[in-house]
Amino acid sequence: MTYQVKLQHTGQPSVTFQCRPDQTILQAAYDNGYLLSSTCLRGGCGACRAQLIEGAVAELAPMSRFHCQDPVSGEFKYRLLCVASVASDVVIETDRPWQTRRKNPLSDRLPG
Amino acid sequence: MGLKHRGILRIAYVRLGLNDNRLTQSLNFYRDRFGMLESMRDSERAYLRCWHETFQYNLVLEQTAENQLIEIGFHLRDEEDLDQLTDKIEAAGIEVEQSPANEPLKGMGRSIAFTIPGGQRLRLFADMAQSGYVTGFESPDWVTPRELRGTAAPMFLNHVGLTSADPGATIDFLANVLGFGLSEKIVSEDGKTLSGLLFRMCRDVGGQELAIFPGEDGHLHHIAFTKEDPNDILIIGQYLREDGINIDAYGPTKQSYGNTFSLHFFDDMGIRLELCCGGRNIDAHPESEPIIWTESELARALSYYDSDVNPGFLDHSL
Amino acid sequence: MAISRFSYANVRVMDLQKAIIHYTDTVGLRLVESDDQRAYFQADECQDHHCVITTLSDRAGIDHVGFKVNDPSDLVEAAEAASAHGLAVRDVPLGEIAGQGPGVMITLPSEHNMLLFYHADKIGYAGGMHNPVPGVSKNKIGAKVSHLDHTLLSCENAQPTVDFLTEVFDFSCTEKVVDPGGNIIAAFMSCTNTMHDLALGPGPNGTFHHMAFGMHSRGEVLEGVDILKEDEVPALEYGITRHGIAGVTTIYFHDPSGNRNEFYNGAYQSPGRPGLVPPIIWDVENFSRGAFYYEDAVPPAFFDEVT
Repeated sequence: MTYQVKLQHTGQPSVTFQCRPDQTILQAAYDNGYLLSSTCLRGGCGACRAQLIEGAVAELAPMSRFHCQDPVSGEFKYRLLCVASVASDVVIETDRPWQTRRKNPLSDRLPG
Repeated sequence: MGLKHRGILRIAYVRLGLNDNRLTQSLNFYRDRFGMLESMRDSERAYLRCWHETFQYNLVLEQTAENQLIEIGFHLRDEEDLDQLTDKIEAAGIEVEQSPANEPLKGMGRSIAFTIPGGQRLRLFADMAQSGYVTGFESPDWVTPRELRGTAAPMFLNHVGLTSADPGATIDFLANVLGFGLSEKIVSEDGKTLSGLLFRMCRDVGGQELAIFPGEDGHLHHIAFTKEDPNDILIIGQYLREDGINIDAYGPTKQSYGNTFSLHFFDDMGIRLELCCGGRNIDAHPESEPIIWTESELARALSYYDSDVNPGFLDHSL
Repeated sequence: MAISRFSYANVRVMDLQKAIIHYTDTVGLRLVESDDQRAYFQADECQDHHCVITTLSDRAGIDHVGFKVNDPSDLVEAAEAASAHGLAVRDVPLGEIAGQGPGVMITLPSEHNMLLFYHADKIGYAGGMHNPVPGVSKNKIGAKVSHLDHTLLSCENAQPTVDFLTEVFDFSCTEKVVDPGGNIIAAFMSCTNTMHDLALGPGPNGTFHHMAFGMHSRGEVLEGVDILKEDEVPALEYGITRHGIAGVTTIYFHDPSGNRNEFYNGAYQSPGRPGLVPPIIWDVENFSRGAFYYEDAVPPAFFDEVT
């Protein structure tokens, strides 16, 4: 079973891909060629923070409260995609732009 | 205001007197082959420092009729410490010689010199001129300077080994009067202190600035310098051997006593030198506890990798 | 007398069991004691009770850093000096933290809590205190960490904390990174004979950049990286590298709550009266070489992401 993830970020065309409930959204994005901002991969540093626009996510591991808060207002605002998975189809606004990566860089070098 | 590191804060230099016309042989060794920087020279002395040091000298060489360890210099925090330690040393019944700034050595503030119970001379001072880092103070490359590569190129003076006819009394003086801590000691089967490693500098890695071994009073056992890690020491050992330098029979080894990786070898005058890295992690705190070795474990203490004590290693070298 | 040691870091973790596995199996520390809220760890070559405490929390980051003083009267004096400096101070009674005596908690201008204490219970070196085993046992699990070496804490403006540590607690500043206006971006502060015990870098106040574990050789750092890779521990993009600042061999990685750790080897010593040797100054232009010597580049996440 998979759910659809739609990623959006101001100034970037949105992308969609499928994510299994047992994998993180960050990993599913990677597998589909999208490299999200990340550092600790353990829900601690906030590099992968994003806002949930639609749908529901699940926490595969705890997220650091400090990085889920809005730094000014303190209200709960962000999910950390390195430990978050999907509980439904979701629309997510990432805090930082993502990069694309080649999934098969050797194969891509073959002529034709 | 007491929250200050006080007293002896660093081992500064070793001063050797050598029967060496114009210091030719010793400069050839320590500067050109061992890889220290020459900070100053006058008609009497050469002043050398390790490349990572900013202070002007870690080794002072001067011409004397007979080879001898003249003194070991320690850097204090300030003049107040100098006065306090003068009082303490005199109160211990030891005569203290006062010297004005720049005497006998250049670049040094006023100093005191005295003879410890083991017979060696120490000099204490609060000020020493700086040459500055050879790699500079602005966005430096902390890399062994090009002109020193291929030599031992020590980073720092690490510690000095001394021999003493009564190691226990020497250690007690260093601890009780000068404020050194004991990181390790070797005791006989009946509990007599035979050897000790002493540290002073608010030091959390290293564990020794002075090493006391049993033997004749007043002599030097060895002088140790710091390298980054064992790999460096193994490679430097190749350069030393290629250069024909006499390497101690232990070769490179782990010294359990002091917890260093070490290589011992001899300068052209026969003085034992050591390159070491690592060291015992201990802090300058009254509750710090020393490692205790028993003499029956001496072989393993002096060299973990060798099966028996190298008897020559116990001899003083100057 | 004086502050004699950077003794321990108390880090917040969101899963205590995972933290225990990380700091023992991967980092190679000894688990000294634990309950359902905290775990205490010590490295092989330290004789005190702990060098790391992990405390269960709903966030990652630093709870406080512990420094040892070498005279009991220092605690009173430090508390008075910190109060006079306008800093919050509270007594920490015996028993609040296992394995150590009472202390005083001081909130630095950077909003980090610094606990000063005098007494630590002794557990001895891993090899023993009497005729010790010097090497690493073949049964050793995890990396060959010798000791906790230093920490880097993040704050918006390091200057007031640098001033306090130098003027009141007798730290020296060995190296610093400054912007073109001369403002401090990062400062490396020492209270012993090593290059840094406590460093300050840019970030939100009160946040944690990393704590570094010392090793005896570059070979042990390399072996440590292999362990991190085998254990699938997230590490900084550059893998093993050298810091231009301090000139040490290093790798950064993350614990299971995202707190940054470092394995490191270096021999830089800085003994002597604080302030006697002027600090090394790194300008912004050269900072990338200072941070990551081989790569001469700083990944954006390096200072952006703290816990």
